[in-house]
Amino acid sequence: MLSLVVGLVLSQQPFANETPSERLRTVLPNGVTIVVERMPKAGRVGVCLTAAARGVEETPATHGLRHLLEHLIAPGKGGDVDRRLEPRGATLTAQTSRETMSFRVSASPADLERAVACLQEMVRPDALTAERIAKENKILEEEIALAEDDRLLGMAAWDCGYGPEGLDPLGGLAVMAAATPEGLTELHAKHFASRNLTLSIVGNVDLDATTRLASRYFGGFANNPAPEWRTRTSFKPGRREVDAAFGDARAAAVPGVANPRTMWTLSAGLAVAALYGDAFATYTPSAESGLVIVGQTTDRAGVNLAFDEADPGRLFPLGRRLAKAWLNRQLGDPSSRAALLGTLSALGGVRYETLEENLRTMTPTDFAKGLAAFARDSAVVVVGGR
Amino acid sequence: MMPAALFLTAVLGVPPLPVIELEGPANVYSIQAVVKTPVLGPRDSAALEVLGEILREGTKTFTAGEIRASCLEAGERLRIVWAPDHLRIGLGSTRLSDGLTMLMSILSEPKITQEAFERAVTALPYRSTSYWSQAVRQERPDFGQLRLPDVLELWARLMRPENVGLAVGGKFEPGEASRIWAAKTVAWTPERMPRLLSDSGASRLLAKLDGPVGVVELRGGEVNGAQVPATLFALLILGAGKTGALHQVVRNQLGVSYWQQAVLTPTPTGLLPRVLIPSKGADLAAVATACQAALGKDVDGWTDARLREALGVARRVLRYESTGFPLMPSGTRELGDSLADRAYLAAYWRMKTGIIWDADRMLAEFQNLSLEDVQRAAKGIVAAGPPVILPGRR
Repeated sequence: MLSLVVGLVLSQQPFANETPSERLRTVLPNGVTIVVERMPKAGRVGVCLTAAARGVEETPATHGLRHLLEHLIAPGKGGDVDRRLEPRGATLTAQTSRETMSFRVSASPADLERAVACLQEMVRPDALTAERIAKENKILEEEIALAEDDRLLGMAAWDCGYGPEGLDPLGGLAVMAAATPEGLTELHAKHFASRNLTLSIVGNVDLDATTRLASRYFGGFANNPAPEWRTRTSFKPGRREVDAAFGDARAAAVPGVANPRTMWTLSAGLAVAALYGDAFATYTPSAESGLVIVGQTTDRAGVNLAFDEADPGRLFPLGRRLAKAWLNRQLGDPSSRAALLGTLSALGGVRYETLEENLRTMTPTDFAKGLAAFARDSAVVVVGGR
Repeated sequence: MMPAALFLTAVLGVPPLPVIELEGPANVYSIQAVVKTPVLGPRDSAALEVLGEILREGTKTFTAGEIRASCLEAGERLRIVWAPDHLRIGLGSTRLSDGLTMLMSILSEPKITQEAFERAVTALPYRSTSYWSQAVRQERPDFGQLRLPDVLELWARLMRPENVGLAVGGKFEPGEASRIWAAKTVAWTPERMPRLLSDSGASRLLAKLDGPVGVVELRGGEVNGAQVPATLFALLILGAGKTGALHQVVRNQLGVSYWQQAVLTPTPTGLLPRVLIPSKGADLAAVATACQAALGKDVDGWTDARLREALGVARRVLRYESTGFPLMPSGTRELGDSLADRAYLAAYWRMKTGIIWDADRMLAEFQNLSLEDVQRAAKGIVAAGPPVILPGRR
């Protein structure tokens, strides 16, 4: 399965966050990062393996290979990881974003070790074969055809804003059709280099014992270096029409997730999305340049007009409240919290408290700057043509 | 002539149902109402959708902006959603009494004006719905023949205390929401029940889905009452998780579809079990034949051990994470784990079945089912009748 790391609509549970009492972050000698956080009231555990895409960022020549790889390794050794998890009430979900590939297990606390063991299989998968690749490509063709309007509008925004540096991880069929077992094995080795990996565990767990458990499973990999992130440098505002999509969207460029401006812009985007009604807002945390996209797919047009008429003074309290609600929602259950911890760790050891602090200290002037990032001449305007 | 029972109802009124109260976070309240609808013909069904659109425009007491702001303060949106057997009205508030006042105002004193009517019938035909909404609903309502009196008449027929089921989530004293709601509705004097106009015939069906992907639907017969647990469990075994039969057979074995759903959607008189298989294949009839054969064979091979495994999945879906939960009351999207959706499920389930939704009781019912019961229910969905095929447009 593929989706954004953080896709969001207006949260319905804005105050669900439970302040953590303890967190332990350990970097193993081989470079794998283990983050364990205790969530005392949690009835489940969330375990997430996040592989940063440092060194394997997509290019036109590799477009979609990471997504294909995700499909191929998610079934685990022998292809039966789901059969080992689901009857016990656990689930494994996999996601590929521009910055990371992640595998997340939600399970009962009694199945913590089983979850960790299953995730280890993503680092040491079965050998890939041409037959499996061909079969999975057929499924990917179906998945790509199912992409709905919000996705198509978002893809167009990235394409207009960042060109080849913003390729959608869903992928291109021609590149995926030419994939070979050898090429994908090499890609896997780079993507899952030990220094790209974070295992995050959240639940009512003992920090030391859980860290030791994780170390047993992830401490034995070779110490592989990982290069620095490739920086997106080319953001260009503009306008893009998408014949296949219905609706419209506006996208603002943001710096890395830890930069205060990102929260200012996200807050502004969420406020306008909420005012519009059935609008969506998406943001995938990134190490450096990214996008906050706000759009709607029910009417021929609307969101772009909403931005043009937005009043920052009136929207500031709403925007801050919604951004806090979004963050709390990510932190509200062990599984999504583990995923956020993993993503932020993969993006350079960012702490979510930094995001909370950026929101807490945001002033009306900051918020107005966030809203200004959506101004017509600074942002990407996407218009559906269907 | 008006039947005697109906006359009594119209004159004396019927007290509102008790409010279902759910525990939630402090200082925010999710208020979810379902307004039960009778069997509606195509005109009234379209009128219900127009009514829903008009209800968003505010009331004689509250502007649309005031309602929206109140909801946003609680982290919710005003949700007014059409369904074949009810209208969902959901809102949020940071003050319980104020939120219930707002709901009462939406129900009893909307501004159904000619201007609002014209805005709605102009906008609705051009509104786009998601792929899944189209695949589930498969109808295209006709707003062209509607007049304002159709909507006013429908509003007067539906918006009555006896038709409204309510669930509220939040942190409050037990019985508090019921007491407040009873006080607010005591003076609710609905309009006189209007004369029922003839409205028969069938709704227009979609010929194609928007987008490049068509859908193959395998459909069982309508279920009610005691049939529901076996049907719901069969749908869970078919559709929930990656060990579900649809994922294993349709995706992994046949390779004809990426994402499938086994759903239970409402009809005016019951619930309809359905399997939806999107596929971009050129020959959807062949896809349907292959899926029916392979799924039928899979169901025949189910064992008691398979049912025990599926119970683990069912526990996860019903107790912890709702992904894969088949019941889709609004017919447009899966229910989520939010307080709003949990309250909505509670209100809807009581309206539909007369009992409060209880996940543990449903799981106990699953455990009491025999293998044959579940296989019969599953075969009745995947291999009983002719498939419904809707091609994609592009």
